[in-house]
Amino acid sequence: MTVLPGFPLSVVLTLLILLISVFALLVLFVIQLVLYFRRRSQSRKLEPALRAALAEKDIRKAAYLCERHKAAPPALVISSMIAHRECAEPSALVGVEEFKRIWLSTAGRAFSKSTRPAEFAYWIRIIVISAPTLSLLLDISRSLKGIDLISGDGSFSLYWALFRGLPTFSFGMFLAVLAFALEQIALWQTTKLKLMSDDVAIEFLVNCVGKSTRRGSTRYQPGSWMSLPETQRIRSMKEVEPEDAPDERRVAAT
Amino acid sequence: MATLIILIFIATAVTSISLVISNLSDMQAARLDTASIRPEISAAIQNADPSQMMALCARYPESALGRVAKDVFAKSDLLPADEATRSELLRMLLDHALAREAERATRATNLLRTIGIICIPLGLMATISDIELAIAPLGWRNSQHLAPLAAMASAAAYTTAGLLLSLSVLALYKYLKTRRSTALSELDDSCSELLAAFLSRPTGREAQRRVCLTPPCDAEPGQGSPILTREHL
Repeated sequence: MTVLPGFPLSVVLTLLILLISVFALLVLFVIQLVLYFRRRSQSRKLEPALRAALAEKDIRKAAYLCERHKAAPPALVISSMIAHRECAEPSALVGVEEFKRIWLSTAGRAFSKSTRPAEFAYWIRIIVISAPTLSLLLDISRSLKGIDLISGDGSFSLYWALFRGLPTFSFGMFLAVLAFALEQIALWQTTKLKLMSDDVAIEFLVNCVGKSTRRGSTRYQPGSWMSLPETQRIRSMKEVEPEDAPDERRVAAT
Repeated sequence: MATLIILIFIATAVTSISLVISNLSDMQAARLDTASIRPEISAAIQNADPSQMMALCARYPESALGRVAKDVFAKSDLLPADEATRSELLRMLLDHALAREAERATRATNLLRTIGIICIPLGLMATISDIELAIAPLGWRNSQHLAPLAAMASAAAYTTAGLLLSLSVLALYKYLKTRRSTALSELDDSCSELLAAFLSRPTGREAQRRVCLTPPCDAEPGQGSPILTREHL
């Protein structure tokens, strides 16, 4: 089936696929670039401030910072951990496990979005190689049928098929190389951001579960209530009271 | 096109070889530094003195173990006294430091893999370009149907060269990856020792143990090094 003179449907379809792939690759490249620089700039602003807030154990400030720099990858992880902190387990170990679970699930969700451009690039790579190859093979097989192998008559159609299909194939490979490079860059950038986000999350965990700078409540000791200032004051008042004074409490009791 | 492809191939080969050489020398330096730092690091952790640890890590900057220990040590003072929680958090810190080292180690190998994969389509593209040039001026209606075949055969050399280069680079990648994996598994073993050292360290405001010091190689007799060794414990 011929769509244009000398160009069968398979070739036209391949050209169309390659054009769409070029457009998709360009869009992916721009999206990846914009997203990465946005995330990186936000992370660079957030990271030192967040570390300082965590070192001071100022969770409200940390939450505010995460709210302010939402686009930064650590912000999502830390804000969900802060939200969970309110209903944290009393046991430290169970608390750590809970925090870890939340951290891993949130980070997994956040970074699966970041790797989408890489996944798209992978599929584009496969399509831009296979579509021209299929088209070329189809064309060659069709043109080989009409060749007289002894006299060489009809070799024109084979050369024409090669002449038409090989540039498309070459262009497809060039696009595949670009898609592969984009995929590698996207994965590398995601790994870099993930490591930074994990670093901040671990710092949050260490600061949250670690040694508290606040004064803890004293342990209960039997009989220690006798030494409380209020009890001592009442006891001293009792000692000062005359023996014949009416005992109001006893009266009230009777 | 042919000159360009040849230049690209030469540049690729030179880059790959220099990458492998620099990586191997880095690994060798890291191995020597780790071998030197390993006996002393547990003692430095036991002492819990940040300045000692910094001095030790600064003395062996190439050691991955030193970097991991420094990262974990900086945060170890904040960990709770509860053994189970402390152990869990230390494990997380060590795992994260290890992941950082693994990422650092795989940068060069990933670059090599990318080069190896890209060489094949580059060679193929050069071949296609030459075939196109051979077919283009031909009067197809004539009976010279065998004329472009010689040009096609010579153009296939680029694909062969690309494939050979790619195979060589991928073989180097595999070799480097194996070496890196071995180094990382050794680091993993060392991290287990680090974890034990961190866990056996006295926590809280207890008196820190001070044991006798190892004299450095260039120290005068009687001068002590700030670093302690396990042998003296």
